[in-house]
Amino acid sequence: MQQPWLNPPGTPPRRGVPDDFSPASATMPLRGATAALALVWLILLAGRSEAIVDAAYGLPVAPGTETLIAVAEGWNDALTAIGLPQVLSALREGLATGR
Amino acid sequence: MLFPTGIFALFFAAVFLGHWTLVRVRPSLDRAFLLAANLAFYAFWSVEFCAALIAVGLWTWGIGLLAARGRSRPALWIGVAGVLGWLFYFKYANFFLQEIVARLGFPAPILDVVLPVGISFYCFQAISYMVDVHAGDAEVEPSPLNVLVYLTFFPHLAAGPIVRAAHFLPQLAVPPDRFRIPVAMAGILILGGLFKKMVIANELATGIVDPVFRDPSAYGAWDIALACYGYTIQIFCDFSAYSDMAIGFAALLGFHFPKNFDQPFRAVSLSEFWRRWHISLSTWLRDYLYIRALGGNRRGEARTRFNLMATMVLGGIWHGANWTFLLWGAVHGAALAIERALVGRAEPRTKGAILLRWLVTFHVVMLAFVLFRAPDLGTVASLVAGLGDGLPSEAVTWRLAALAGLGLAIHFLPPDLRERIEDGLRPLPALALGAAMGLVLLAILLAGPEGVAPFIYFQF
Repeated sequence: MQQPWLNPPGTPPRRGVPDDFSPASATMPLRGATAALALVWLILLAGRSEAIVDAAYGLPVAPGTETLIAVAEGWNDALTAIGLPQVLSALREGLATGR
Repeated sequence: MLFPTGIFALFFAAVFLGHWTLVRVRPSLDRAFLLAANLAFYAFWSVEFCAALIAVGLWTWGIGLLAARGRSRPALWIGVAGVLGWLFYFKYANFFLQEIVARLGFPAPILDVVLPVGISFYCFQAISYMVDVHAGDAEVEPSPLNVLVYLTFFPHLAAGPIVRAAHFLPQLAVPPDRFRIPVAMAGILILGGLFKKMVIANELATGIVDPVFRDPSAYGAWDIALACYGYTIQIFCDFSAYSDMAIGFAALLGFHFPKNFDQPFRAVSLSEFWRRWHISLSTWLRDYLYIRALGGNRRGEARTRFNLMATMVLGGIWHGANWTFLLWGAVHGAALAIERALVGRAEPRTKGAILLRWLVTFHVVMLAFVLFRAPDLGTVASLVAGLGDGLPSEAVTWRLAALAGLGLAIHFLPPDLRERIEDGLRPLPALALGAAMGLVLLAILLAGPEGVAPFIYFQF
């Protein structure tokens, strides 16, 4: 197979293909991959709630835009109520030290 | 559409779900879906050029049918010339008119030519497909859809890596395995790439490199020195980040791309550097230009040196119609020829010799990148003058110096670090892996400056 992770462990790399991607790469079935990526998405949505509100404000006026803005604001308000954006802002400021 | 943006995250989520759903329920529709996704990805830059991509793709497929397995060499020449002509028009028409036609005294209008994103990478793959099927190194593809999916596949469409037909087309022939998706490998590549791009490259660019190269006369010697070293680190962190992310996103869809960067700044010779830097382009130039077109090293030492110089100069000009790119290629070509004459393939044995050769190699690469980054030769002269004009250096900060040092230190990590991390992640259940990747992603976004600068190699 061209995909090294589909080959049995110990399979030498194909000739002429510069590659170190191990055939022993850990793989998971689609269900697990989808769950992992969905969680990445959820964390991204939580951590970037303020940016999502800004992005929603920048959407062109169209049917559904108002609803999207309301959802984004509601999501951000819910997270603000538990203090997440404030914590992340403080972290961002800390990480910007010396910039 | 840039990888490190919310819109791309949305796009990729839709493609991931659509692709794997079709692989499961209707594999025959998956390639059409992928082509639509590729064109949608490109349409964020230019809807008009989507039609051009399809036209050149169909041209490539047709020439492949005519020229396959040694048939019709004229068809191959016409096919390659057609693709090169398309590339040359966009990249060099104005340069040719202004620098050559106008200097000869003829009227030379300035054409309104906009360089399409990723055109070079697209053309290189098209040429490699035609040449390889003619030489029998790749199977001719009867389906135009497969050739179009191969050429336009969105992870590599904008800035590579250049993937050979013989490696990619067989992956389209059978549906990817939905029970074995290398999530950890892809996650490490994507997050590592994001770290290099968002944290190191973006901050070096905005903090020191861009301001100094815009107006060197306003900066002191240390500022200029850090900008020169910083750009060397920036271009690596920017370009290798794109390649790593492209490889990672392709892997999440079940496709494999070869590695494109292999810790290039640990090289102790120029020839080793080119085996580690932009591997897909350097092997493309080696196989199609240096060996097939110029004859490689089979025609004597003098001709070999000429071939090295010609390959590197053409590689330089490929980056754009500017004397600085030509000089960048010439410096590399000359350095490779000198290295070949002085040390050949001999490896340094003592620690002192290794260190000396590493220092020489790194600084030749760094000085050549100064030519590469400078918009014109006047800027290069200003940078050199600025090293001795005694102005105070106020742009240098410990943070920028540390980031440049970090970008260099990456090269001396164990080469199998990714596999080791992967081994550590192997026991984690999917949700724990997702949580770990999500938190690292968030940390990277918090650590980098706001906004995303385009990748350097988009312009080529």
